[in-house]
Parts: sequence; structure tokens; C-alpha cells
Amino acid sequence: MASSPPFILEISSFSDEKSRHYAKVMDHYFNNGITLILPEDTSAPQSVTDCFADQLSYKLTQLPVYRLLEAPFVNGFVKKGAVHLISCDTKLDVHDCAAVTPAGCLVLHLTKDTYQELGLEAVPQTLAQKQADIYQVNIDLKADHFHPGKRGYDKAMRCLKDRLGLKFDFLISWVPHDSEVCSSSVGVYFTDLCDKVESYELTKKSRVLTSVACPRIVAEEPEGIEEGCHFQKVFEWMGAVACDISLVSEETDDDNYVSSFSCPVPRVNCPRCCVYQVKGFIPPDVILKVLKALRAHKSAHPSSVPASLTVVGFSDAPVVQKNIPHDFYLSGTNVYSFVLYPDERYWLYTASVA
Amino acid sequence: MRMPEAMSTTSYRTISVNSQPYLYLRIQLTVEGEDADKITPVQFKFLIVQALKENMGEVGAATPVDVLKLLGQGIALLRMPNRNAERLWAALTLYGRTPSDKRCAFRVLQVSPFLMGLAFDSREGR
Repeated sequence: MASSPPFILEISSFSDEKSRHYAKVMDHYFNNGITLILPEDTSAPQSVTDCFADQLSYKLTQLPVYRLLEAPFVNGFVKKGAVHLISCDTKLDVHDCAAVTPAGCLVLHLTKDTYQELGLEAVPQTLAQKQADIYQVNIDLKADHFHPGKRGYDKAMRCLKDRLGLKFDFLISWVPHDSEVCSSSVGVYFTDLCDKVESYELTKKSRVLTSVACPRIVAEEPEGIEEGCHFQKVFEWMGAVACDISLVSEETDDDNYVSSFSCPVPRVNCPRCCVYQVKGFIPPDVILKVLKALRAHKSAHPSSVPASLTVVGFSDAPVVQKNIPHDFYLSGTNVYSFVLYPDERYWLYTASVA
Repeated sequence: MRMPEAMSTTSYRTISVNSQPYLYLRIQLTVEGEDADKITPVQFKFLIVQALKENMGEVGAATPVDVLKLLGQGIALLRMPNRNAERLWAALTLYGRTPSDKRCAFRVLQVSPFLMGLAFDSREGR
């Protein structure tokens, strides 16, 4: 616990051609929840809540992994849109886990016993994987040579179907390449292939805080000057708002026995602040829509305290960004957070810790 | 600790930080024969201080631990300094008996160096 991997703050602008906000959102595949902090609003704007309206996710119970290699699934879904699929109720540090990324890669994150029984080749281990005896097998479902009749395909199929019969509960959501196609097709496809398919609903919570103490933030000075707070303190405050920890405007008593936590100084009083939280399985495309709607809303209704959008990923996802392996040692936290300023500038926090 | 990395243009820059000052924990306290919902924040903090005192002495008990929020069912969010976190965690785990001689246990449910990391727990409620 002496040191954690980097916590990064990027300061940029949406209008900057080098801005990485699009890549950041789209490469973070498996999102578990989002938190919007909207100062000076009493409810989340309609344009934001509408983004979740046509979002469909499914929970597949006890689906054999070899079903994900079959040609109808690969040709019908993986190659025609973005499949987000992740095993659920599996713990990354002790269980086998599996995922399919939108790039078309099947990732199997296996314990030593399963790996040795399976007989498929693993990618080189990271140091953390070596220490934990974890092996990761990547299968590129979109590769030209990966189809029935080819040696690689037949071997993978034989190992997953006949040798081991790996099964998981999965969460799946599919974003079709064509807006005319309904994303519910993927649920229908799996109806006969696994024990049960059920819709995995999003849970939405909205609350309004009144007279809340907010840190004064100066966009150009993230490291804190007399007029603005340090960016780490701001992130802690955002966490406190997300966890619904009370932050009153009055000066808190420093000798408080229970907690010495308070809003960082200098602070401003915000008469009302809406906190909108959504939990479920949220594909990156939806988050991009939310970000766009939020930018439009905030440019129309600027506030003295900037609004923020925070995305929390699954702590048990085998990959966080693209195919970069994710480890779980103590926490598996993977979070990114945008703080939006009225003039298209933003702060982007990235925190990823095993 | 802090390294300003790139300043390619005047508008874009990154700052990376390698260590965090605090560790945040979601812990659950269960006390034999008592309703966990009736534990007050002051009692909760008192038991944590007792755990530290018993296992780490007076100096250990002086470590600043904050009970940020009680969520019900004996679950609380804690903040503790990162450099002492291993010992504090061990002290909580080893504590097994309240001053009134009832059996009790602290269970660590979730850990993160960021408070934002505790806003959602992807391991619960699926």
C-alpha cells in the first residue's frame, strides 16, 4: 500500500484537435456506473436522461464459452457492431473470468488449474499475473483465418467445448453498426443457447443537495493557489458527493470526534446541486452521448462550479482499456472523470489501481 | 511525487501522481446479539479506536481515522492515512471482543485509494 499506480489529470479542451476525450470514453469498455454532479440544477436535464432510454443489456445465465466462437454469433454480432460482454459474479483475483471486447477479442482470464487443463496458449504474463498465477488467453474473433475448418479455430473450439466446457454468467450489450437494427437481437439470439436470458436493467437515482459547500476551482491552476483548490482535493470532494457524505456550508468543527473530513478551502456555497447516478452495464457509446448532452447543457446554462461526469468501471473486468490487462490486488478501481468548464475546457481524471 | 509530464501546447498538459495520501475502506461491523442498525457513529469510532489501542498501543490509537458515513447494517466508509493503512487494517481484523465482552468483527468489504472508487461496488447486488 506504499504506492499506487499513477493517478493522472489531463487538462485540455474539447475543441483542441489533440483532445483525447473520445478515445478515453470509447476505449474504456466495461462501465458499471456513472455519477453526474450538476451544480445549480435541480434535476438532470431531459437530454441526458434520454441517452439511457434505448439502452438494452442482458444477463445470460450459464452460457458455455464455446458459443461465443460460433460463426453465427461472430458474423452476426461481433463483426457487425460492438459487442460488450463480461462474466459476472466472478472475482478477478480468485476465479476464472471472461470478456469479449468491442474490438472482437475474446479474453479468458484463467487460474493456473483451468489454464493447464484448457491447453490454449496464453499471452505473456505481466508481473502481477505471474505473482498471482494468472494466465490470459486472447482469441481474436475477427481475424480472417478464424473460421470453421481452420486449425486454430478447430483447436479453440475443441478445447472449450470438449475438453473443459467452461460456462459463465455473462452480461452483454450490443451496439449495432446500423441504427435500423434493434440491439435486442442479441438477447433473442442467446435465448436457446443458455439457461436463461433476462433483461439487465439500469438503476437510476437522483437527489438534490441544498446549501452544499463546493471547492472553488480555477481551471488554469490545478495544483492549487490562493483562489483555487488542489485537483486531488477536488476529486476527493467529488467522491464525497457521489457517496452522499454530508457537506454542510458552515465551517465544520476541526475537533469533531467522528470525522475530520470537510470540504476543501477556499470554498463557495452552492444553493442546490443535483446528483444523478446510474448503475448497470453501460456501453461507451451511451457515455459519449451523455457527455455530448452534458456539454450542450452546460454551455447553455453555465454555473460558477463546474459540472462533472464520472464513470466507474467493473473492478473485475479482465481488461480496462483496449487489451491492457487489469489486475485486482486490493481494489481493482478503474475510474475516469470529466470536469467540464463553460468554455469547452475540461479536466480529465484517470485513476486505475489494482 | 508530482511530475508535470507534457506541455505540447499551451492548452494541453498532464499531471501524474504516484502516491495517494489516504486509503478509503467500506467496512462492516457485526456485534454479537446487537442490532447493527442501532450503532451510532460515535460508538463506531469508539470501537475502531479500541481496536487500534488493543493492537497498536496508545501511539497507534492516535492515528487519525475518519468515519465518513454510516450506511446502515453496520456498514461504514472510513478514511485512513495510506502509510499506516496496513497496520490499521490488521488491527481492525484482529479485533474480536468489545469492551462489554461481546464478540464482534470488522469485515473489510471494499478498498480504494480514491473515495470515488467506493461510490459503486461492482461485486455486490448482481
